[in-house]
Amino acid sequence: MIQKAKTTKIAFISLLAAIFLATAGGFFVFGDRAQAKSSVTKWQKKLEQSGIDPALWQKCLPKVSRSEYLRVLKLAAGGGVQPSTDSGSLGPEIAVGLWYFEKSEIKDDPFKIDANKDYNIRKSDGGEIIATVSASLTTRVTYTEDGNLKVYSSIPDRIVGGEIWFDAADGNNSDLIFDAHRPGDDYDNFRGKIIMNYYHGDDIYHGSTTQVSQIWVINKLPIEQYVWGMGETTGTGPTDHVRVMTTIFRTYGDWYIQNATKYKPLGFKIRSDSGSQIYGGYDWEKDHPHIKEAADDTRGRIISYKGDPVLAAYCSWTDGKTRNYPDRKNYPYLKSVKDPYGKKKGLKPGQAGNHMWGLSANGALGYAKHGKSWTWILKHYYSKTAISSAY
Amino acid sequence: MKKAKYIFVVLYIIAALAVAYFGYSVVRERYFSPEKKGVEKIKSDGQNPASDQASGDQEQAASASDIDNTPPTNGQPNVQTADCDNNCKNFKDNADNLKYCRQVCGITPVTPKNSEGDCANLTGLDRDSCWRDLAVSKKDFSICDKISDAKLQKVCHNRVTEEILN
Repeated sequence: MIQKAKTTKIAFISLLAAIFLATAGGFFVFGDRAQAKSSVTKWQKKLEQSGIDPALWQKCLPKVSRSEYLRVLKLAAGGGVQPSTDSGSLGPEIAVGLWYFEKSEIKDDPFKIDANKDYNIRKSDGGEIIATVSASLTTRVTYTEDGNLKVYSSIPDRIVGGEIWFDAADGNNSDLIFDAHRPGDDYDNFRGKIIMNYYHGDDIYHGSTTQVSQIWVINKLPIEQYVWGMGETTGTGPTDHVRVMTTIFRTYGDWYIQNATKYKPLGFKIRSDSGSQIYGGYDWEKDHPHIKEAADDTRGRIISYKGDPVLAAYCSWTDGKTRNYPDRKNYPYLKSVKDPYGKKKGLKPGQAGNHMWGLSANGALGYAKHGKSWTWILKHYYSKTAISSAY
Repeated sequence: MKKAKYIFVVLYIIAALAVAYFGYSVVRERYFSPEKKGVEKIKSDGQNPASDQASGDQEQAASASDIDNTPPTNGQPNVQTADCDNNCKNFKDNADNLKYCRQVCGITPVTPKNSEGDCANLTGLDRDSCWRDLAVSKKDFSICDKISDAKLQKVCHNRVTEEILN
């Protein structure tokens, strides 16, 4: 009898435990599923409730993730990577330093600019419009004194401050092309906005403390259009190699947008020469159409490490292997890997600009010729990274 | 009764297995998903070509800038990229905050420094700025680690990188 009661008790407790576990499990599982399902709309609901302009997050639908929610919040707050308001999926804008005039140079031979459609002359980015000018009319700019620039020719003489912006009169800068009439250079047509910026101070550009006065010509445009005009390649190699290079150009540019401060006093983020990466603008883009094709194939794709865009350092050649970057703590993905196809005999690190960090362009070309995909190549040279969509 | 006992035990085991089965997938999704880890690991020795295309196609949003993500320390204001774009105008009413913002954004140019002695007697933001100037002058990342403010330390590392890559 006692044995029977004991058995019944055990069975009863077992039953209760089974019911409890099944209930808890069901709650655990289905509760989570419900939560997961609601998380699709949870972040969306938060956005809706926040009153943020739906235009900022409509492209995240139908499933708004937490990271997208945070990104939209940042955008709405005016911080973070901001896509140009008129650039759509062409990515955030990058300011590229094209060239500069000495004061005496621009006085002797003024800066000249016209465009393929009517354009505005402004005092600042999105600021007061000084004038709207017909496409065919050439505007001239020269230096006057005390850091001021003078605009003339297309409009009555007007002395402005040390900054002038040129952008599209119809608000659409994506199909705007300026002819900046660069002295002695045929590659002088540029998409997007053109800025002139007066600078006085240390010669940052040449890395000296000599006091200089420079009037910089700057091109500000969405990063996709920037990539289309990259002069680092002709785009004539295997398709996957060109895809590798366009992804690197984009990632490299993105790193500069987000992190560069060196040229801030001059008014731009990145140089247009080999000091950063060579940019030839719209003329280069026209002459080398495969670059744009590869950029379109990889649009918005960047190399990332733990969710952050990487510093996509690259060079032409190595001595058979790439090198560890000196700051391993912050750039752990720039580690030494073999580079059989990029090997150049007798080459030493640093020689002819070959720092041997990150990717070697000729090594990547060799891998592409041997059938490796663009994503494989990128992940080979940038260790433990992912290919992400930035926009 | 023995039979009933067995039935209850079997029910118990089934329930436990069910919880384990569903629980595993939930735990995996919550704590071990690729999105959480943020990185897709591959072999860098070239042994994994078959999965490359698929892995390369993963959609993963890259996060915003380091300037925004790295929190300031020492009670400094949280300078955002937008503040740099407008030349720190939001901080113009507070000289200390303005000075900090200009440092973060790189508006204050680097002044060449020769040795640690140049920075030794300084304090606070002046000292941090001095370390940055010295790190850039020497192109030495390790000097950035002497900076007490986390955000300025990050800016310093990036600035030295610019110097090296130029």
